Amino acid sequence: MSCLEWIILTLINRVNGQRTSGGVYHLLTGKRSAQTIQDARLFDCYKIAGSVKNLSRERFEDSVSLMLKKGFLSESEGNYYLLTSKGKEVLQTLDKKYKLPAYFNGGKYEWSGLAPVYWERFSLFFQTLASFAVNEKQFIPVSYRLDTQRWVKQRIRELQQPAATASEQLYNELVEFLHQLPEREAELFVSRLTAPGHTGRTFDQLSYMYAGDPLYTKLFFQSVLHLLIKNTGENPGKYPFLHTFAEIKKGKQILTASAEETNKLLKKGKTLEEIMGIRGLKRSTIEDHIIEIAIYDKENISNHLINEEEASVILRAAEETGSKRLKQIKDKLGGKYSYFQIRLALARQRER
Amino acid sequence: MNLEQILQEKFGHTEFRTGQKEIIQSVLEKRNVLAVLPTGAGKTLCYHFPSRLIDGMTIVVSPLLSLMEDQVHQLRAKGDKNVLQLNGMLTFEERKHVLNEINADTMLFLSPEMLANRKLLQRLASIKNGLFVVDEAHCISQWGHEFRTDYLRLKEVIKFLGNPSCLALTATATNKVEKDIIGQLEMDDPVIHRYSVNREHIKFFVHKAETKQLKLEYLKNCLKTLEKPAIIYAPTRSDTISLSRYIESLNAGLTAYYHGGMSKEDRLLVQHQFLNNELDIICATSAFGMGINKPDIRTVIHMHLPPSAEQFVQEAGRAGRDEAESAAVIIYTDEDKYIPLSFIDLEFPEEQELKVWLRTLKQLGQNNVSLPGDGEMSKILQAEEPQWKMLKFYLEKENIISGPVINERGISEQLFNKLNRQFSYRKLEKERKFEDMESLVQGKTCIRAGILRYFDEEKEAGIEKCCSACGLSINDVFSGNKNMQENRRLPIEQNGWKEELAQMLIGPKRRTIR
Ligand SMILES: Nc1ncnc2c1ncn2[C@@H]1O[C@H](COP(=O)(O)OP(=O)(O)OP(=O)(O)O)[C@@H](O)[C@H]1O
Ligand SMILES: [Mg+2]
Ligand SMILES: [Zn+2]
Repeated sequence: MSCLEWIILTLINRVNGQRTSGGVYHLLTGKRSAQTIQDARLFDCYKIAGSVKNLSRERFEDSVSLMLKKGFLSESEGNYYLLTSKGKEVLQTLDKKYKLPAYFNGGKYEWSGLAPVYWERFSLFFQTLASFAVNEKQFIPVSYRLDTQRWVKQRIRELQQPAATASEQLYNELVEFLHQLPEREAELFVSRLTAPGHTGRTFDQLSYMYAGDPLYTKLFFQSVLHLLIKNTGENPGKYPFLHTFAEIKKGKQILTASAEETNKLLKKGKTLEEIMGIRGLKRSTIEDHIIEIAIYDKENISNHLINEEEASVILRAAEETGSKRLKQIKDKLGGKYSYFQIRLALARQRER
Repeated sequence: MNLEQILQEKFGHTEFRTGQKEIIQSVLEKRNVLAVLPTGAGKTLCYHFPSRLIDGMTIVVSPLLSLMEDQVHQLRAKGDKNVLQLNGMLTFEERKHVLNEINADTMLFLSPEMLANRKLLQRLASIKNGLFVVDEAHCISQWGHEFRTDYLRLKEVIKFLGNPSCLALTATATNKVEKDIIGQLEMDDPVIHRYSVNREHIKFFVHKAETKQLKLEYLKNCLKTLEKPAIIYAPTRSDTISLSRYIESLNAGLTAYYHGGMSKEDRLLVQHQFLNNELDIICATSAFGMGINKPDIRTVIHMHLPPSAEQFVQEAGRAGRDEAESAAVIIYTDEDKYIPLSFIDLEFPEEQELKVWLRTLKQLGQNNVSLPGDGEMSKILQAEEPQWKMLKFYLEKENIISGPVINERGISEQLFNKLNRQFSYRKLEKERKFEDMESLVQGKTCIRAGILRYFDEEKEAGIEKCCSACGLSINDVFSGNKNMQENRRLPIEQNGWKEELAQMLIGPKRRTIR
């Protein structure tokens, strides 16, 4: 059984029959909807969520039906899945084979798209300096994305020192960072980088490092990347180059484009109803945007929609019911709060 | 300055290749031009060159996204920063950036779906347009490989942009396709430059094996003699993977696979590795190829029968772009024909299916539902997305669909009959194309002559020993196995990551690092 099956079983086990297979799939791929973001918190799978972003629905369904056939899963009416006792045994065995790498945090770095953006910029910046080092001014870039190319070009233009000095600086920072890792992980990370005559290796080509499993290999790589973003963010002075790749224009990229529109209007002080009118969208759509904003936004512009006190009442009720279904929380609260308020309270709850 | 001087100074080539000068001259005379030049002959130069001289922007419509991205990056890497692109993959902001940057010196690559965007076209029309290019123009023919309503818009777009002169280029056009291209683009008084599709230095070899196992055996033997770099084409994604594992097990060279299901990053890495000679062999589906411009590919092997002679010629044409001796090999079994035939079958709806689709559409129309997106719509119809797109193409042509509006009144028995007839005809047409491909390899006659005949040419006398049917053997072309030795990398464990990192970033020369 591959790493993918392990992740799927792990998530189905966490969700424990409280969401449909669609809900599980969205957790795996880190769908940027308010519902899924909330589920990640509710089912305590924030870290592993969004770990297989490009998993196709077909591949997922295939894998689930195979595990049904093998008797690892049982299905209750309406696409809800549970692990059978055999499934639990299998998961236990797999838990010995696969472990979520130490620094992996999908919810924090993959879901938002921060890690992929960081990597695109960093690897192109690296390729550029490496090409300068051998006097190759022209090369085919590792990233075809125009905004990445533009970003890196700008960075290079702003360099305060000659390219050779910059290379040494970057080298020193990387060595400093990689030294704290196990040898294998440092090797993996360096093998992904591209320089003239040294093209990065694919996860398939590097899978020999981790049980012959490309996905498992990728998780380790991402884990290193997550640590890199964390370390350099905490200690920018120590990593003058490496910390800059995480720069994101405020609110950019994190929110979906449509939620971003709503965010702008909220900031201008518009009410939910006004935004509905201006944007010609349904209430539920705007509510979804607000949930999305609440999850990421540190300024809490949703404060006027729900205050701290109300939020803590709701959170307590959620804790007490022990259920993840909104209906039960609502009933527990005697119907005093709307679904939207409950979702908003849950959304504002910070990472556990 | 004469053209040769410009070629030397701006493009670094010493002389024009066959056909280039004639085509460029016609374009500079502001004529509408259809150019048929073989694969690898240098069609890009035929518009890149004039784009530097003419007054106004050059727009290049390129049908395949990955092809376009590769081409744009190659041109930019060679130093031409006037080359820009617009396609559906760009974010809103990136698009805005590009639209701000374009000017009369720009050579702008456009993907076909951009042609439907009015606002964008208005911006393009606000700049003087000097030349409108359609590359890989066989794709826009109704005999081409894909249905896209966007192609039907080409002629309007050209008018909208103020009638710049038009250049259509392809390597694979029969007479029928040639006429069709001219018609689709409404080219007025066109000059046609047609050169032979033949590439003498590519030698063809066909081998029929009895079983799948024997096919692999034969491949193994081939790889002992054939030179690298090589591309091996396989019909499905999983075939590319198992094939690359097989070649690894033979120790026949460094190998990787490539298919459309891989992440974009991994696809680019594999492609880079291949271009950099860090790989000997790439096992790929047809997703690999069109944009690949590696001069020294020595061998292209097909482990199946491609669906058409066009596709075969395009894919085999990746070989020998440096004009040195190369081999194109087909290894097949009788069973291989069922794969393309079943693909064709799947592509078209059964009568009953078509009825249901039309009924569903009618209902949507009656309920005043505006047309959902393509993905959504194929789900509603329980059709494959390409199937829905094909249906949509015809419905748009019949004015049953216009934008988001479904004119359900037009959906009738009559329409059903018409569509059904058209689909049967298309299907037959595709089956015939495959049969043509099949007969290229099955006959005892010269393969090259067969290809030339397919493209309505006569084989010139004088090419002796040109293919396996004419008695040529692989050993006549390649003498021994030359694996590429340059750029061989040690596994990272050998020197450790720190050393590797230093070599990459600082270079072997001046290293004063801790
Ligand atoms: N006049 C020339 N002299 C030398 N090399 C040339 C000349 N013209 C083009 N080339 C080179 O030939 C190669 C192939 O050119 P190009 O990609 O334009 O081929 P093409 O005709 O478009 O092929 P395809 O049909 O496969 O797209 C390129 O590497 C190009 O630099
Ligand atoms: Mg070309
Ligand atoms: Zn012959």
